[in-house]
Amino acid sequence: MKKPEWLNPNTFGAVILFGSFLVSIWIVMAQTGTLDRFTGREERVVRFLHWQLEPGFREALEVVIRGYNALPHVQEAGYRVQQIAISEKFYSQFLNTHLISGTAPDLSTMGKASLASQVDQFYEPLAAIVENPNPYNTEESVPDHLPEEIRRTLIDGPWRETFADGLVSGYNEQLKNYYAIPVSNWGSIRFYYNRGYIRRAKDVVLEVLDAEERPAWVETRLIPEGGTTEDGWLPDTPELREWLRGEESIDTLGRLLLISDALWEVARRENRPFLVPISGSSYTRDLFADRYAPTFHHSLLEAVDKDHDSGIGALETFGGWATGMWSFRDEPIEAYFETLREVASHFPRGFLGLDREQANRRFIMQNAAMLLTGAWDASGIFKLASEQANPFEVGVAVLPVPGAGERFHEFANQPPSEAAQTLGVPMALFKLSDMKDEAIDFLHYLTSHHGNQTFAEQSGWLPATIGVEPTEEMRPFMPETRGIISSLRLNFVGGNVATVYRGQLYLFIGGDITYDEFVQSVEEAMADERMGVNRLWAEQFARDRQVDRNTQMSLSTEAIRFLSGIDADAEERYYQILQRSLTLSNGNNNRMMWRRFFPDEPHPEF
Amino acid sequence: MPPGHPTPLIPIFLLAVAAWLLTGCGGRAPALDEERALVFLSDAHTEASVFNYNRAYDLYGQARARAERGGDTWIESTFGLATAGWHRLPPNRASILEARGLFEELAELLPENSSYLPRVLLNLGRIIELRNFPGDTVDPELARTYYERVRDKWEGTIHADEAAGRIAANALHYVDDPERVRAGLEELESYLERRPDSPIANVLWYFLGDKYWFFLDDAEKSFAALERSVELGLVERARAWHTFWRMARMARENLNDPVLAASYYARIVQEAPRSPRVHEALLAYNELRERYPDELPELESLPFTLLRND
Repeated sequence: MKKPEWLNPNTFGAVILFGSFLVSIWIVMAQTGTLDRFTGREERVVRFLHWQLEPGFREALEVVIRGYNALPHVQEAGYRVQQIAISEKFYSQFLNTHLISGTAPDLSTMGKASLASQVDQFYEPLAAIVENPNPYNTEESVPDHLPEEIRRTLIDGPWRETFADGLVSGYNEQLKNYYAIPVSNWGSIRFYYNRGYIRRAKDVVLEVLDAEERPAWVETRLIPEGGTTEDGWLPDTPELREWLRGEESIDTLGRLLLISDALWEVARRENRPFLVPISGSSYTRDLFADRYAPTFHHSLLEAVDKDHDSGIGALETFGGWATGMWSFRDEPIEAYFETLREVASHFPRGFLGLDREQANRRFIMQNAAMLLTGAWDASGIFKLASEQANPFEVGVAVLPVPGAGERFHEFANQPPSEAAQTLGVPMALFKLSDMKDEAIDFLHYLTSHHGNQTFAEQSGWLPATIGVEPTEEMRPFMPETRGIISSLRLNFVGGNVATVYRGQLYLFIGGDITYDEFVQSVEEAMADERMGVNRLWAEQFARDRQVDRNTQMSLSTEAIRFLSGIDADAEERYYQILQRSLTLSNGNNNRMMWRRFFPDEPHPEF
Repeated sequence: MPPGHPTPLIPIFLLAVAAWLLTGCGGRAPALDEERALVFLSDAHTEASVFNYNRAYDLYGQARARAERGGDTWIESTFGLATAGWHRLPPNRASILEARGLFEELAELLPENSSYLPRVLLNLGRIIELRNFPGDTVDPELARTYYERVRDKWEGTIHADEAAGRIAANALHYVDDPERVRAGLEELESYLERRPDSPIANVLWYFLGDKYWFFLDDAEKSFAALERSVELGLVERARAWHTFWRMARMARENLNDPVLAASYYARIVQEAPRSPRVHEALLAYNELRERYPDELPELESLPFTLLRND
């Protein structure tokens, strides 16, 4: 029998395509509640949008949501909370579209989406709410074993005080109001290492240290007897040998480099051509550069900090360079770049083309012994490492700085401080939401001692609420407050100088150009009359004046609010913002900064 | 009509509809209607309060057109229209001139006892001294005259305090003339000495402390002004460590008073233990304590970690 003409692969494909389309429509309608509206079973839903797709986060949030949805008052009120998890890649597009169309989820993580930066236009201010206690922290629900001060703060204190950072992460400096409630903690950047590999590397070092003829990689790494730190990176001491015999993690820069050298030897001996010491990527490269900057720069900073404001801005960095307060030939600066290059020499080839996920995967597949990333990857890494056919133990350590007696220790011996770190996953309440009270109630629940404890235990993320215990394996990710906070702004602010700096830096740490070539290119770009420092200064002047005008807009808005009687607290905020407005001084700080560095030269104009 | 020729009824009908619609586009101003004006005004305030100035501009315009000139609703909507015109996007010469014109109209019309007048004058000063769009020129001298008028007419009020602050900030336009900058800052300092109870004295002392250092390198005056601000209570209490750090450095490096410096390092450790500078402050304190063991006690409160649950 002849087959009907319409029965062909094209028809089959079309049916699949159409069917998939219908299924997608069905899912979207079901998730957004549109289907319920059609079927008359409309349900009131508090939608919770975020981009945390790391293993554990969604599952933990779902556990908390289930607990909340089962509460009698929630059931009685006839609504429920639903999470919507969107990939980081599409989050901005999704949220921007819905913010502008007035259909944004009731709660969404602040950040990523460009429109979300227009905080006051799209999000509800929370100052009045955060001053009241969290109703879910009660005498019964908060454990008795907590220190009394913490317990009383949780039960009687304002909600904002129950957050580990005092809700700094939810505060908007410009608008002098709270606009977000953090529900977790990003945690700190840490070195993850494969305990088995590190043990084998230590054994290799112990073996070759006493060999009659030491291999070149040990000879060049260790300072010879009677030598100085110019001859090697770390001394061969009894402490080093004791450390090699023990199980302690890598604790100094010299030891990190020595173990990395040894790991190449492990790869050679075990015939593992894909094994590298550190799972580097474009992501890792920036983490190293940012983390080591305060450690190496801090000895140069006090003179450059012209306004004593405790931070080094881009203008101070430029001015300091142009007037010789620091240079690329200063020992700490050269040491900083040398360290970056030395560490990067233990990354896989072509690491600049690899991203964060590829780096993580290499570590999980045991093709790298170490990985630098944040606490947000921790639970996924721990889980996947234990589920491998050949499971391995993961250790965690802080990024090491030069130890006593090691190269650069003289000026680079303090770790970078993590004290400025604030809490994460800041959830903001959409201004047009018709479920505002319900959304706030859920945030109260999620950040209560009980809710956040459940979330921290289930997710393996660090808690946001005081008194909540992190899981044992997450303790090493707690922020380390000891250390240095400021660094030169070598990444500058933009324009041609930043482009040249970044491009040349990547070539340098990738081993493609020498330090002299790197410095020459960057200094030429900085000194360029049209596109160099002078232009950046002038562009910054325009930005500073714009910031002042934006601050005036905030002042005008507060004035409208209190003059019209919309917001009784607006007058107080007006005078708080006034301090910022006066201090900005119509952008003249920029002109003064120029004068301080270049008293005899006219302020640049373009 | 020849057979087959289309009937002219449809075009005629469309023309009639168009003519009817166009009657609504006439240049006539809407009739006065206080009730509707108030509705528009309320909506406009709501939009302005969420920074939606383009929408607020239209609504304030509608309210103003329906309100009786000189009445409360008209004043409020004109003030709103000027503010929205100033901040609507994109700013350009025409929109800024229009906003300025509206503020000037109010400045001429409003009686001296109007609660809006000092704010109108302050806004006029601001719109004149800010760079509102690329190519805009600023006129600090003219802006100053508006601030002076507020300071002198509303003496003893918070408006005069704000104006006094603006006059001092206005002097910073003359970066290249340190004497003029000093005169401007000292004028504010004298004002504050005469009016110590100003509700924004802490804000103004902080401003003086910031500028005496950065514009004049006058550590003594800067430190004294910051001290006054700290005594009165810093506005940004969460960033108090920032001011303490600055004061410690000034005391140590410029005032040659290490013990005074140590007291501010200690305040960072004890009052801002979650601040980013806590470790460095503790190191600096301990270094000074080694040199001055009799004057500096051991700090009892060591910094605890950012997370109080650790």
